[in-house]
Order: sequence, then structure tokens, then C-alpha cells
Amino acid sequence: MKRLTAIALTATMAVSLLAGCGSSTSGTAATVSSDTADSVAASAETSASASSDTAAPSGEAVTLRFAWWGGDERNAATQEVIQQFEDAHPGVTIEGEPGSSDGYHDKLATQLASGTAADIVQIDPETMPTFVSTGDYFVDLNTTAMDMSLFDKDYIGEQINGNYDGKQLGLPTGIAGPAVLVNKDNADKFGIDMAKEGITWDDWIEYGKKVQEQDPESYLFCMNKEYIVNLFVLTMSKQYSGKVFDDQGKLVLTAEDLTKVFDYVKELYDNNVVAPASYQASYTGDDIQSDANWLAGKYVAAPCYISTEDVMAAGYPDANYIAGTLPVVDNAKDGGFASNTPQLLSITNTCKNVDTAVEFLNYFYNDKTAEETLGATRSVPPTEQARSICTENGSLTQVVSDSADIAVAVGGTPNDSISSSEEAKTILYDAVESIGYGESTPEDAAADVIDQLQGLQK
Amino acid sequence: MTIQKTAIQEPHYSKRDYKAFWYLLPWIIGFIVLQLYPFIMSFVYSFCDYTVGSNLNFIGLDNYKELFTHDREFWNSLKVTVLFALYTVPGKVILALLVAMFLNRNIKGINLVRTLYYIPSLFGGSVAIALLWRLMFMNNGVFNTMMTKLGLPNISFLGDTKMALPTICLLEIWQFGSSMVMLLAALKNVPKELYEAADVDGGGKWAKFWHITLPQISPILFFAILNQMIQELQNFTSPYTITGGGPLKSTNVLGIMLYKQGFGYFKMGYASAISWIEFVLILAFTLFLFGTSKFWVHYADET
Repeated sequence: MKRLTAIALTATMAVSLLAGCGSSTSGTAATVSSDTADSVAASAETSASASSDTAAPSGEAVTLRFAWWGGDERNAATQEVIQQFEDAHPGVTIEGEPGSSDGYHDKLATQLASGTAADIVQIDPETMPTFVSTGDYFVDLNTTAMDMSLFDKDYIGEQINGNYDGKQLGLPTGIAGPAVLVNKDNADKFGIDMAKEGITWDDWIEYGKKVQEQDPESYLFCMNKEYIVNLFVLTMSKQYSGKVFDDQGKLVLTAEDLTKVFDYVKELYDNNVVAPASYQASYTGDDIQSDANWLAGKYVAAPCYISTEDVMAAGYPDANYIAGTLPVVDNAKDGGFASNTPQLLSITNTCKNVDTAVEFLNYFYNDKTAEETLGATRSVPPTEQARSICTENGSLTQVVSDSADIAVAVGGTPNDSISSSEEAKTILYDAVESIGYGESTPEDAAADVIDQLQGLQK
Repeated sequence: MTIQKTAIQEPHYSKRDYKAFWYLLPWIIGFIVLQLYPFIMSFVYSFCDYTVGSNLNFIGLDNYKELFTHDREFWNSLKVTVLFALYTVPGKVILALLVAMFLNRNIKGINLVRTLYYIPSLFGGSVAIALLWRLMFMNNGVFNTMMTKLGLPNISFLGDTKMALPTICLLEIWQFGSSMVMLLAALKNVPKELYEAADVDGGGKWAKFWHITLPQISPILFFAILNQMIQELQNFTSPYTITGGGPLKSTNVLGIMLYKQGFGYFKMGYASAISWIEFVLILAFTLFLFGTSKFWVHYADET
């Protein structure tokens, strides 16, 4: 009898194992090893707190979830727009899920794979290609009642702005690009002109030296290795070689060109144009916004994005800020400083009330009150209507507006999907870090990076 | 006599005993779904090329081959993980023992002091504490500001490749409370007659510690070391939150590498392979500890 029970139990266990093997996507959430139990717990929490999407006809109670990341200003503005929509549409509740950009996409990836993502999600356009290639997660807005007439057709037709093979999988929230936020008071104090026409990369090195001579505790630029890669390395590489990877996924950038770029990075560190690498180690990624030196006004300028200029300026409000000009190498093959949307808004395929979601997006993008409330919290608005409203009511600050003009004038191609992937960027971050610490020479680092990037080719 | 003989030769479950399985069923289900299934599936995935959201492609030992030969971070991560454990475990256990011995007295208010020393370990692998640690040790954090005020030069705790790992280990060592409580209990269980006998024989403080205290508490000490070793080899939260694996990968433990591969690059098969290697590492250390235990662990009920 004991043996029979034992056999029965073992058989039950075996059968339940085989039954479990059938599902591949739902298994993903469960197959994480105990080390990453935190992430599993996080996604389990979100699915537990997910509101029950009552699949009800319009007019009855509908609940949608809207996830985004942003600073305080953006969160407040977005919540207000949500409130306005809810007031105008009784019965509709939109649960906002604001978060910080740190870890946002890791969480989103897990949620998309397990089918527990929010109904409307904000996505980084450079991470979007990875999501699009690993699954069919988003609604093609061309098949819905979304009114996209106010958008510039060419702008929304670009892949980086949400158009993948003719399907509009996301809509751009604005026009952003690289920018240099200059603290004019500091610039004048050190006697440098960051806004001059035709500024060159070497000018920046000279300025950096000048600042250091006068005050060893001040530096020209507030940067960390991530920002150096995204704003200097990738842009300079595109200026020298046109593209990093071509449309077929083959590496176009050469070791020679990359060595020139890394030579420049070495000069940045050697001449203390930026803070030492060991200092930067404490502020990785977007944490640069809380760099203690910046908050104390010790930097002259902060290369950043048009969409984060206001956040940076708010960190040290007691200064006059102007937009700095962007340099281009001689005989550049490409402007390098690409302007594209800073975020995309998409509707996920797990949304049970797509029509209501589309109504909300219509309100978000096309309604004048919404545009006024949102202002420039997601950088320069993508529609002409929104831009004029914002300039009139002053939410589009002069600095942001000037930066947008400068960026658009220099222009550039957005990053291709391979060089904007996490893996490629990590290779570059590690290389810049090792140059910053003096661990490798620019030639060796460049050769190494090219070698690794070749492994990422299609 | 006959009844006894039957009882010894033919043990069998009575009908009542089967009820036990019903009570165990919730745990059995939980175990199978949340522990056994992921355990086995991750083993299967480690032999596959599995990008999240797409299909499973069986590729045999390729993931492991890639890890051992091609991957640039793997050997460094292995070294960092082992170093992390080697700094933390002795540090934690020795500190716990010293504090336990210090607190092993019956003066007024000793319970309050014991509680205070235990509090840090309540925080566990908390992200909040890790962030606090970062704020304390970063270049213009609390410690460096104090040192500047005292006129001492600043140390880049988290930016210097040689200092970052010890600084993170400090966070783990600070949470020695749980080991301390166990060792305190063990110390209290040492028979007082042994100490009195030592006094009679003229043993000094060091002799008492080395020949009486240590052997008597060695089972608990062994357990503490084993437990901490298993925990620290898997540790992920502290290094990830404080330095993110940097600077220059000096704190890039296997847990971080696994996380980046699985959730940053979506290469679940590769991440599973890394997790199995971590498992084998922990197993190796555990077997080693058990093997050496017969030389220094003294169990009272063994001859």
C-alpha cells in the first residue's frame, strides 16, 4: 500500500511537470533562478495589482492602466491630463503607473513576455526595436480610430518614431535630441563662449583646460560614461563614418575612426574636461541628474537631451541657462546629432478596451487643453498645434526651444537598432570606462570594441 | 514479545497516516510549481538558445563553451564572486563571535545592547540600505565629508577599483546579527564545569577559548559559516544597487552578470547556464566545508 501511494505521488509529480512544459511564454516568468527572485516578485506584484479590465461596452465602467517614467513635473502634468479625461468620460478610470527610468525597461520586458504589461505604455524608442523583434506586443494604430492628422507624416513615418514596416506601433511624444545646457554665469566667469557659431570639438577641450586652470574644482562638462557614449561617442562616430551598422546589420564603423573618437575621450579625461572616472562611478546612467557637483554649480555645462534640460536646470536653479552649440568634424558624413522622439506611447495587445485607449491617446495628443497641461514635459511637442500653444503660454522655455533649433539645424541619422541595443551600448560603456581609468589605450580599446561589435552583426 | 517482533520487522503505515499527505499537499504543490519546475526548466534552458518571447532552440553545451572560452566577463565574475564570499564570510562570523563573547554576560541592560547589535541584520538584502551605503561612501558622501573636515584626504570608496569590493563587503559584514544570536546561544550552552576544570588545571583565557569554547560551539560555528557562505555566493542586491558591477567590473558578481544577460539582453538560455554554474560553485564550497568539518567540528554525541 505504501509503495502504491509512493508510485502514485511520483506519477502525479511527473505528469504535472510534463503538463508544465507545454507553455513557453508563461514559463518564462517562473524559470528565473532564485537570484533574480526580486524581478519575479516585482512582476507578480504588478499582475496582482493589475485592475480587472472589465471587457465592457463603452459607457460602462472601463479601467485602463497607463505606465510611464518621468520626473515630478512630468508625472504631475500627466496625472492632470488623466484627470481631465476621466472627468470628461464618466465610467472610465485610468490608473497611472509612473515610475523612474531606472529599471523601467527591465520590468517592461518581463511584463510584456508574461502578458501583464499596462494597456498604454511609454517606451524608449531605442529599446523598441528589441521588443518589436521578440514578439507581437503592440497594436497597429493605423487599424484604429486614432487621429494622426496633426502629426508631420514624415516624422511619424520614421522607424525610430514608431513606424515599423508600415505599422504604426507607437506615436512619438515629442522632438528631442542632444543638447548642451550652459550655465551662462559660469561660462562668463571663466571667459568661454559655449554658444558660438561653428564651435569645434577641440574648442571644448581648450575650454575645459581653461576652466581647470582657473579653478581645479570646477569642470567644463557634467558627464558620466553613459552620457559620454550616447552624446559624444555615438555622434562623433556617425560624423566620421556615416553609420555604425548599415541597414543590413553589417558593421560600417572602422577601427581607425573609432580610435579617433576614443582619442577624444582620452583627451576629455586627461585634461579634466570632465570629472575623474572614479568620481563618475557614483553617478551612472540618469543618476547624473543628481550629481553633487552639478547641484553645487561646479560645472559650466551639461550635455544632455532636450527632454531632460528642464530637469537638469531645476537641479541648480540659481543660474541663467542658455543653449550651447553642437560641433561637427570637418568633412562629416553625417550630422550625428539625431533628433527623434524621446519616448513612444503604445497600446499593448493585451489591452481589452482598445477603443477607449485610442480615445485617451486622441485626447492626449490632439486636445488643446491636454497639450497646454502637458507643456514641454516630454520635450518639444510633436505637433505644430501643441508647439504654438506651448510657446504662447511659456511652458516651452527659451533654452529648450533654442536647443531644438540648434539640434535640428545640425541634424543626423538616429542610431540603428543594433547600436542602440543594450549589448552594444554596454560594450561602449565598458570601453569608455577603461579609457577613463587609464586601463587601456584608445587604439586597444577601439580594436577590442570593433571585435566585439562584429559579433553583434546580423 | 511477538507483538514487539512484528513491530520491528514490519513497520507499515496505518490508515491515519495517509491523511498526512493531504495536509502536506499545499506545500507539495508549492514546491513543485515554484521550486522543482523552475529548477528543472532552468537546467533545460541552459542547454538551449532561448530569447524571451521566441522559440526554444536546443544547442547542447554551446552556452557553457561560450562561457568558459569566449565570454570576457565570466572568469572575472567568478573571481569576484569567490573573493566577495571570502571577504564577507570570515569577517561576518569572526565579528559575530567576538560580539557574542562580549555580550555573553549578565549585566543590566544587556538585552537592549544585544537587540541593538541585531537590528542591522533585520534589513536583509534591502535596496534602501544599499542606497544608503552608496550615499555614505560616495565621493562626496558622509564619510568623505567627515574626512575632509578632519583634514584627511578623500578616499574614493566606490570609485577606486581596489576599494569598491571591500566597501560592499562591509555592508554584508555589518549585518552580522543573525550569526551573533546563534553563537550567543551556543556560548550559553557551554557547560560551566569545563571552565571550572580549566581554572583548576591552571588554564589561561586563551587556553580556555581555544580548547573549550571553540570545540564546544564548533557545530553552530560550522552551521553559521555554511549558511553565510551559501548566501554570500549568491548575493546580488548589494553589488547591483551600490556599484552596478563597476568600477571596471571589480564588483561584477555572477548574480549581476546573470541578471544583465537574462533581463538586459533577454538571453535566458545563457543566463540559465550562468545560474547553474553558480549552483555548482556553491555545491563545491559546501562539499569542501563538509569534508573539512570532520577535522575541527566536535559533536558531543560522537566518540
